[in-house]
Amino acid sequence: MKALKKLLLPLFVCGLFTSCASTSHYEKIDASLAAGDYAAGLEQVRAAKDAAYQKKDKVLYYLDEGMLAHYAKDYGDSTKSLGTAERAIEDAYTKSISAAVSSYLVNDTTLEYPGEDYEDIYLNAFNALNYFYFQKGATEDALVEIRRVDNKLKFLSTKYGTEITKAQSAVMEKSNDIPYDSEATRIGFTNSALARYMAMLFYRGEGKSDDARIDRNEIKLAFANQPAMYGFPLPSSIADELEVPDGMARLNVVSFSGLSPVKTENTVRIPLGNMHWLKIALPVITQRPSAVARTEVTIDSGEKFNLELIEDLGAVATETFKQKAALIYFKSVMRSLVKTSSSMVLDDQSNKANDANTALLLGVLSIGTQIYAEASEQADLRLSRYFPSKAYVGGINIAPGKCSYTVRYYDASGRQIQQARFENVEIRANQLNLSEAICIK
Amino acid sequence: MKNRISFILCSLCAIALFAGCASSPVKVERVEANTQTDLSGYWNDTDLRIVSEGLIKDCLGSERVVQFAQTNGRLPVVIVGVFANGSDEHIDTTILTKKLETAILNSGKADFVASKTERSAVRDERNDQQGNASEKTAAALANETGADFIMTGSVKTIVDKAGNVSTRTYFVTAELTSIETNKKIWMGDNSEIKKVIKTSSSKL
Repeated sequence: MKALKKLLLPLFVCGLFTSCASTSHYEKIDASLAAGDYAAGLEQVRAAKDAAYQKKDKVLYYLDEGMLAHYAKDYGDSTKSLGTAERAIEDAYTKSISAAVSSYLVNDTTLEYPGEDYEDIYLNAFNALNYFYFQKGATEDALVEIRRVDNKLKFLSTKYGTEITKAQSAVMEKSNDIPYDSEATRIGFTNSALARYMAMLFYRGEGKSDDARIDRNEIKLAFANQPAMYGFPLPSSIADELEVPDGMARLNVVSFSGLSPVKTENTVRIPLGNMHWLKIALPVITQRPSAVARTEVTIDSGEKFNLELIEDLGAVATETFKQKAALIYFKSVMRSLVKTSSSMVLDDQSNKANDANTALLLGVLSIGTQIYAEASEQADLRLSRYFPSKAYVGGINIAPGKCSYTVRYYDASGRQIQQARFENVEIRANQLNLSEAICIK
Repeated sequence: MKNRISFILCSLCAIALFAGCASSPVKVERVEANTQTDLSGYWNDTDLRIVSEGLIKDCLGSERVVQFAQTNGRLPVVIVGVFANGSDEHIDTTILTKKLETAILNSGKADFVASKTERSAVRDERNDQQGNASEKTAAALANETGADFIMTGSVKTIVDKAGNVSTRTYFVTAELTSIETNKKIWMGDNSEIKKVIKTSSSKL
């Protein structure tokens, strides 16, 4: 029996900490991206696949790989990876019963990573661009991806409704002392200006002016109706997007900069008296700062225009995480209550025991259970790392023909921090001429 | 007690050791082509079969298609145009158009000419023959058959979702339009495909 204990105890301790996935590979990839070497970043994530990503992190890996492949202009592979991530997100809806039980006994890192809502939405937006570039300007498949964004946004507002109510009721039955933020269960993201902008361009490229106009209007509605995520001016170039003079062509440039937010842990300890406490470890969306303050496009013929912010992906990540955060909060409270209650029951039994040895044993078990609660209660900090934080757009009407231009990125002090050069791009009338620049700084 | 635990542990180890020793990790079972196999809820071969059979029957039964041959003393000539994918899935609509083309051609009620994407290869071959094939066997230039009608269509979806239940409805339309007059000789639609997809929230 002692031998069995010796075997099981280390296994149990290992089980507690195996969920801590390696994150050291991110530093190398981040450095490659900051240097503008996206192909190196892609190679690095592929090299780290087996060591840094567990089987339950499939969604995480394919999102990272898909985004890095997009930045590296490997659009075919990016489409495959983001498509795999999307299917894995669908599959992760069905949760393993054993993993679900573990998540109630240990923490949420034992579960398969199901992807965050904003990841599920934007993977389609980037796949739309992938299809457009990979199919050399064809827009049919790109528009399929935009429709998928639309369907997901429609579903988002009702996705967690009943789950949150159930979780709330369960917690309230256990304790009335747990604070509850009713605002946290309301989600305010129902329309993506970036997705609408892409749809407008794709429809305009197909000559479907009515559809393009509808999406142009939806961009305006996205800004007007969602001030929490669009607290900046509507890009002025939107007004000109559908006004291309006869014989002229329109050049559009979309730019992605910065890196998407990460999750950090916020730990709350609620004292319950007699050396017992409730530990709640919650993931919190934390933005990563971007050095990019201004992006300018200069055409070799002399014309210049600034790209304007159309989507703050970080703000969308924060907003769309609110509902899930409410669920995580309720679940963490329930789990922590169970763990701490066990410790308190053992403590109580220890105090009531007549026999000194029994009292000692129950006392030690009570302390052990509280230590286990403290050690095992960890926030699930998994989140893909390589979506951008901001999307900027702009456009200009120019004469059709070959055109060379430069996209320059400036920091807040006006210093140029990066540039992307486009040489002899064929700009055609009556079709979509879209270029993309990246600055992950 | 000790013996019993040892026995259970040994049994579990043995099961774990031999569980992976199956003769082949892949199991293949051949089924009839018309077997309904719904795995993901997305567009599949069964949907294609139902939709194409419906549209073909509709088109071949059209009075106007039959009347064209009677009035003109020849079969109508059709070219396949754009069959747009307006759905939220990456559907290869060329499979659907090929099935329609095959069925209508084999019915003997219409002739087809090469589509826009196909004819450039045919023209290349014809041009190549002018310099390389014998005079007797080389295909003549400027002798292509012009189409009377163009076949176009679209696939669209309506998706609704709440909780773990979603519905997917497919609307497939096809039409034959006169290239000379823009008159539509036939229009068919199929909205028979409606699926309710329930996703289990738990698995073993």
